[in-house]
Amino acid sequence: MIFNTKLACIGAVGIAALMFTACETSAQFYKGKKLDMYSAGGSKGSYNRHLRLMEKFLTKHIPGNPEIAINPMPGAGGLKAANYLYNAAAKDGTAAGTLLKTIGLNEAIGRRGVKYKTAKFTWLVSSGPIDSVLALWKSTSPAKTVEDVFKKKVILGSTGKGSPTFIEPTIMNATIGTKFKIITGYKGLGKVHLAVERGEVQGRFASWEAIKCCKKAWLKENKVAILMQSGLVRNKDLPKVKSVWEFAKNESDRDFLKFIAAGSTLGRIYLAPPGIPKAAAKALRKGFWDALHDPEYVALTKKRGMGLTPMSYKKAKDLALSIMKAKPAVIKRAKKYLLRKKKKK
Amino acid sequence: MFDMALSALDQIFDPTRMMFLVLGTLMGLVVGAIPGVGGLVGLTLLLPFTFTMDPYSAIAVMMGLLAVTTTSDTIPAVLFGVPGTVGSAATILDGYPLARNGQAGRALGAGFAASMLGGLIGACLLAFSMPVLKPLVLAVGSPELLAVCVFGLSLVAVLSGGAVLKGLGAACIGLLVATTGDDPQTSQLRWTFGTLYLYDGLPIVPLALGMFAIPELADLAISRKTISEDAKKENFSGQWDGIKDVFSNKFLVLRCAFIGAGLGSIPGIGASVIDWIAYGHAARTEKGAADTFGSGDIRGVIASESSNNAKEGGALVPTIAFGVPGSASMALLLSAFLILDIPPGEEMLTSKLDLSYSLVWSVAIANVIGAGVCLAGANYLAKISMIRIGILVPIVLSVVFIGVYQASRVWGDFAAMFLFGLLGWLMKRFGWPRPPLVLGFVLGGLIENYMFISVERYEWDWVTRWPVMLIFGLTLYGILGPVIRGFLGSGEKKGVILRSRFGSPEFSPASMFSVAIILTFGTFFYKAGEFEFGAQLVPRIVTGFGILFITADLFSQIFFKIENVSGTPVKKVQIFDFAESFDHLTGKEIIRRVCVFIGWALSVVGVGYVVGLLPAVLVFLLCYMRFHGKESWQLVLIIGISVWLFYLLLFQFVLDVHWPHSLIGLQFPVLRSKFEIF
Repeated sequence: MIFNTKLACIGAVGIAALMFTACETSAQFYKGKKLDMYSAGGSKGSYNRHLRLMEKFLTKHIPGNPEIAINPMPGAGGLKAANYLYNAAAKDGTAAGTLLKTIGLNEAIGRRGVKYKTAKFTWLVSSGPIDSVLALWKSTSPAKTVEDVFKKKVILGSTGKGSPTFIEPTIMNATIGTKFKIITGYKGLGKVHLAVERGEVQGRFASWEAIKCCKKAWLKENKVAILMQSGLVRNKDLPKVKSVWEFAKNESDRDFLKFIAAGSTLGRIYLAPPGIPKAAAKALRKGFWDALHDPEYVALTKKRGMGLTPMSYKKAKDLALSIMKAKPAVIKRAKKYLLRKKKKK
Repeated sequence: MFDMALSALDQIFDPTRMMFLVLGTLMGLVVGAIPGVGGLVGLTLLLPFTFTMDPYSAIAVMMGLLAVTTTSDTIPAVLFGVPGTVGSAATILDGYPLARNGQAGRALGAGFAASMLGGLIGACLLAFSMPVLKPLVLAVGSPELLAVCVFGLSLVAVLSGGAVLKGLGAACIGLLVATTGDDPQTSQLRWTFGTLYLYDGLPIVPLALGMFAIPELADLAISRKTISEDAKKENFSGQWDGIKDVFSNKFLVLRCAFIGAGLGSIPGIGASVIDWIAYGHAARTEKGAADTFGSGDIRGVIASESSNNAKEGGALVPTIAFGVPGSASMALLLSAFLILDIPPGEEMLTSKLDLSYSLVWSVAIANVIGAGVCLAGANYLAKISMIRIGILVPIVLSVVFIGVYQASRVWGDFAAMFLFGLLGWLMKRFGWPRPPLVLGFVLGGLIENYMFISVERYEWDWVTRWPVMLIFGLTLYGILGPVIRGFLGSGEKKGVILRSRFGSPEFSPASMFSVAIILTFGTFFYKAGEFEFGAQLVPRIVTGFGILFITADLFSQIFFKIENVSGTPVKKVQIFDFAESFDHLTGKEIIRRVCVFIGWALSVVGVGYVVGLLPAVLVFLLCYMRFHGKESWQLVLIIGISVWLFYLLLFQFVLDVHWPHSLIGLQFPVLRSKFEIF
């Protein structure tokens, strides 16, 4: 009995020492180190903009105050950065990244070129949803109300057939009966916006933040009508605008549209490669969470019209995994719209 | 408006802000002179520091950097035939031949002076057009952009020199390469060969460095002559001649600066096209250009350089007026604006007009400072052309290797550069003009894109828009004008009578090369059939025409002999074909030296894959100078280690570039976390 008590005491001291060491390690892990952040969105996009704004707050809040280096890695619809972060980036805690909201969806539908397992990434946080909205230019669009888009042909601009700016309106045409004609090929959302302003197209189904942040005059001068949005839950800025899935006519359509909408809600995710040291993961999760809640950062994002509704790593990961566990019928339907056509035999 | 402009000038002349402007300018000069690196890397580096600055200082440092990368990019273009940025590709067509003729100082002087004037004119245009910016930009739709791109493509004929059919064939190669990657119309992947590298198309940096840098460096390494060895004498006070050249061609500078600023202000044209269009314009309109452009005419340098600096002013138009970046650098600038709470759009033209004018002043002042610094060093730089090739080639090639990796930061960049390097070298040897290939590449994607948007949106009504008809009219005039003038007897005026004769077939390595290109086109034509209609249309048209052009050229090569029966000498001009004389070498020796050069180049990448690119560069510098250049160990160690340490300082500690992961670095992550170069 005495032996057992001694053993228990030694064990307790040992565990306490280990825990202390772990805490110490977590706090000191990044001291004097550099954290390489890879951004799937490239130097032009909002991913890079968010990361740049967050940079100094990450240094401030990640224990050990690491220097942050931002490496834009656009390409292949986000696959390049995702594959790199999973397979090639350093797994010693000195690399992390912001990947596109479609990582789980791409794995679920078996997109060619996916070389990662969504579940195995070290999830850090999601800074908030990336909601798309249907914005129509009032002076050129024949549709003025949400009812009109089911009756009148509206010309939308899109960046390409592989992009959400084409896929989501196409799905809407096929499921809820909208009548969009989609013109593809604009190099970036900025060019779509320019085409909207010069009347070449009459609207677009794309990022809400891109309007809120960078096209404030459109809202101020009441030039656009925001008629639908993409998320599972309505964006807090647009409580009266219905989500696309709310227009579904039957259960099967609703399941499918919710599956597509989940990516929007998953939003702007931050991850590290799989298998990084636990101390690093702990420090990163704490650092990201605290940075996103720093009052100065919150005020800056608000001022600049950048979305911020942080979601913990657990919730974000669960949401991503729930996308992957969708019903086979939903996945099959998604493949039809989202996968590239195979070559002719 | 003038109050705002003066207030902005007052803000910029604040001593601290001027210091930032000078700092940005000096940094811009450094990054512009390094092939493949350019303003984007420099701006990425600067960006974090600007967030804590006031908007005027941030604008000063960023615009200082961006405005002058196209000034210093003249240096590698003239001295080594290596484009410093994609915007200076056309500069090499005449700049490099001038250096080979012993006139590097003159070419640099003209390039820098033209850059400065072009930059100033661009800034002035921006300043005066500010109030009418918005309606102007809104008037240009996809059909107009398509018309401008088609006009640009019509310059292929000018850039082909005396080999029009080969030039058209080369343009078809460029157009075909431009169809690589994700097709936005059908979402099909074309010619990606299962790699992610080509998913978004081939980056232009490996293609441009492959087509221009590798063939020139290979030829220098094979001939083992210094850059200006064939010249009768090097003129080291030529920079003043160059400056005088610029002032005696002031209307050319003005026209090309207008082209640069005008096209730069249209989002969707792109920096890599503008210098070609300005060069083509000069080649068409300048007196006697047909005989001298491409073989060392200073006006070619002036045209290209004045346009590419002017475009920076123009590119600010869509950036500040609409928040639509005209280039990747402008995109980064825009993201800095948003973080600094400088909202692009209406406000920049109204309540924040002073900020817009501080952009204008920054561009203008940076151009003056940048050109001043470069001109002060022009004659010293010109002496580089006298350095022994055993020392120069490894130094320049190392920079090219480091630079090309920055294109998309994957090993595929090296593979692409080697492939196009080999193609470029073969084209050069067999008398194929290379500029049309690059022009085809930069315009190919745009033409396909705007064509589909125009047809999808307007069906065929877009053809009847008056700006489209006007530009198409100009294009037709540009193409048909010389043909008509030719028929009116300009050949007779020169007293040249050429007669073609049908003869027995003659095969040469050049005809074998043409056959290989035809077969490649044929293969791609066949494989394009696997795509759906929308995705196969352009590749099939391009390869079809390619086969037609090259077959016609091949037929004339094999069966026809051209004789000059008049006795009057004919000056045959091949644009940028400063043919390296290998007369002193046997065929066997040339092949041996080519293989040795390829071996050296591959060894850098091979060793780099194992130990890291920068360590491999050290090994390459030392080994090449010692064993290939036959330099003394003492010299090799002093130069090799000094140059390497300079690279380490510049790329690792100043520019903080990304290095490829090596096997050693992957095996021992600790090593990489301590020393990023592994």
